[in-house]
Amino acid sequence: MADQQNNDAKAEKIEKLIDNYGNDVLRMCYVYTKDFAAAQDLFQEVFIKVFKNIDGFRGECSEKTWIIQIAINTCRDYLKSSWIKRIVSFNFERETITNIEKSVIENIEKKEVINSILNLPSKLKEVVLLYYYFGYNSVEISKIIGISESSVRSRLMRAREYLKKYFIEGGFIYE
Amino acid sequence: MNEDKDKLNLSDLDKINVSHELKHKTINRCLYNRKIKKPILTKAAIAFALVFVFIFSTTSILANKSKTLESSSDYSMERLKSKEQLISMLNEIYKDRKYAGEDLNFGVQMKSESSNRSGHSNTNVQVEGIDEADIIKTDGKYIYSINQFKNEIIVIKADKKAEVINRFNPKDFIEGKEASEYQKDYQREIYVREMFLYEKRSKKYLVVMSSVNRYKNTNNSQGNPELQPFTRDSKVSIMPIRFGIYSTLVSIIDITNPQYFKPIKQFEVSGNLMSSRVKNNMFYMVTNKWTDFYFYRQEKSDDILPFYIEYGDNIVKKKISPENIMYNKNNIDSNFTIISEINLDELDIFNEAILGNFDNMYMSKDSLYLTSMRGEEIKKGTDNQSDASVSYYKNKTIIYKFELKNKVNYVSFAEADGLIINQFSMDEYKGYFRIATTEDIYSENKVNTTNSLYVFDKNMKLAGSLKDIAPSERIYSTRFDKDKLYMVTFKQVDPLFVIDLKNPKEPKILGLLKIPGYSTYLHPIDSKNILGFGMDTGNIDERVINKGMKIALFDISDLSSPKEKANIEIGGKGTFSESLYNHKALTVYDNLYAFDLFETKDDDSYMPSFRGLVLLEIKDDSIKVKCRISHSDLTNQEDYYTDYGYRAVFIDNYMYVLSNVGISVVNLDDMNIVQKEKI
Repeated sequence: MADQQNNDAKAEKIEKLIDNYGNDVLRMCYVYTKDFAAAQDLFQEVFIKVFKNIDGFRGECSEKTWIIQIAINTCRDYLKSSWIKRIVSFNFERETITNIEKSVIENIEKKEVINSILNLPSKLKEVVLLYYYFGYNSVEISKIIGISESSVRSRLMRAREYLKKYFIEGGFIYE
Repeated sequence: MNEDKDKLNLSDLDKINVSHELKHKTINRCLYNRKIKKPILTKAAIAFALVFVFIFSTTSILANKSKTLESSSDYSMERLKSKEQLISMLNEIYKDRKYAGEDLNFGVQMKSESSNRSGHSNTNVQVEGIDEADIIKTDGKYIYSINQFKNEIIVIKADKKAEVINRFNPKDFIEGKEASEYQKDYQREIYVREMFLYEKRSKKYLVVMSSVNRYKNTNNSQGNPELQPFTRDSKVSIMPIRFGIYSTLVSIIDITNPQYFKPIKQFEVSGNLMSSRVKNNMFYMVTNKWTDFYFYRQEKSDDILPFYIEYGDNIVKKKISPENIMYNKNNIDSNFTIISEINLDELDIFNEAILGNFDNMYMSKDSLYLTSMRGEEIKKGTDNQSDASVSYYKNKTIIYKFELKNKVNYVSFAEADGLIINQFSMDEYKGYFRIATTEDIYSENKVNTTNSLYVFDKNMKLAGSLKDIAPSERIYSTRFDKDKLYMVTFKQVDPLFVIDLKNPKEPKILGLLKIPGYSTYLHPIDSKNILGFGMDTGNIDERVINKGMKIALFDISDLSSPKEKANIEIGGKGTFSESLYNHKALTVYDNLYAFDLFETKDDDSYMPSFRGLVLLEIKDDSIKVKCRISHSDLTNQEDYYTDYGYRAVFIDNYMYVLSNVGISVVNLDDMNIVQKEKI
């Protein structure tokens, strides 16, 4: 009985976190992976980590920043591990996508701006997303992703160069 | 930079929302099923496909280019005869393709070291005697530090008080000075990047490189952003893109009187800074500039050629003439790479350019090498939309050699299969050039990797090679040390290879050590020891993930069986140090090693536990942490994310630690902090 109560309290807590930050996390995972099914999967991993560690969170930075940081690292681990492991197998069970979600995603991907961002290299993608979508400044970004502020600036600059080419010449590395 | 935040409108992402189902599934998993479950392997596969696409599309476009070649392997260089020739060549490449891939290197510029027992520490450089630019320099009396946060150079007296005696930005010296073409309507922004210290007899100069961006203000910034035309000079609102003109300012500043600095000469060269070196009195700088050919065609403007500006009594802007632009007909890209040389005694400049895209540079005492990535088609692919057509392209690194005579002269080229990671992938020794590459081999729907070493003679003819080193792994770091090469490859465990290069025609593997984790930077200490900076790794089910940072000391006294003598692991997941990818962030002083650290708790929480600088001592085959310095107490407590950019220099018996917010002085005898102050 006590257990049940305890669980209810926890469920409430995690629900609140998802309500507050869930959309941002899901959007971030989607931009990283370009794959909505994978994003949903990563989303769950992020919140499991958040939930596991929330008691230790002492408010050294804002809750949102902390969660975004976990999301970034989870996405990175995910991309990195596959890069290193180079396993090719196209049979996998995936999160299912409803038709509504599918049409939302298809619609979004038709938007040139979104498409251009999705096709950036992930190093540039993350700074663009943090800067232009989440509205962090370069100092905050440098701490979130652990590079120097000047690297943030130069990545933003490189991202702009990429986008410039994309928009002018109608597509870059990806056709 | 802030004002363009609204220009890239990503609000469509708002449409992605967490569904009810996902939310409840997540809550359930949090409560009842914390163990990360199965779909791990499958995730790897999804992400893999992503990476795959990226490589594939880059190579395919590059390969498209090479389809038009008569001979697919002639990459030799010629000089342009006229501007018309340039334009017709660019028209050709713009005709049937979009844009050719940019670099896909995932290493950033790295450096190396040399320790200086007496007096003061120096920048950790790759080649002894060839200086590399950095954000901190010292002459033993003063410390010069670039503070990118404040966009200025700070001069500190190197005594126990560590007083700040001067601050400036090179833009102060060209305030009000501008080339006539840009006097009207243009705004100019200048950011300090890196610098050298040049001393010769009574001369003492600081050579500072800064990024310059010029752009025109548009009046109708309130209008519908989507309707604005693309023009080069205006900031276009549709995008975060500033269609400005990028260049690099080189300021040579006389610092003999530390309180009163005066500029001796300033030059400005087209393009963004790629890399720079100083050898004796010669300064070499390489920049990259997009051709702006689109605008050239649109606006019929006259300035397709890269330019340079000389600031003096008169401000002279000159174009780099076609005779000084080289190209290779098989490797043309819509980009100029500009090599500038400045004689620091004569204060004159010479520029030449190459039409092509170069991404890495290595310089020895006699030569300069630039590398460019190419994809070559080996076999016609099918038009099958799936993964199949990937199999038929091959990545190559084309190396151009230049000799450092009176002027930088093109000598010859060579090609190697695969791609490199950074400047440490290359080396020159006794006239032989060596390069280590990782190649992705595509077949059917599989990708595999193989690693190779190539040795070229002084005319860039292949002398010897060693192939299939650690198949299906990838090179993470390399360090050439005279006739030896240390190489770290990684898949799940990290083998350290020792390769013998005594006979350039027949390199061979001497020894190999397998340990968990990997090093991204290798620092030879002496003939018996080498230090590796990298990450420790662990597994979650099938996945390999990074854990904390790992520093390992390798015993290489028996080359046939290298051993790990000692190691330390710092922090948990998310721990990071700039020294992992930038060798200049590591300062070496005798047996002391200082580097910046962003540390997280050693659990899964990603919770930061320390940020600052760490000092290690290597003594009697062990690695010891001597001290940790943080300036987080100098910052505003509410403003959590503000101290960063930690660097150290050593002078006599003191270590000076600088960050963007403060400076501390540490006595190396007892590791006491004798001074700590905001700057």
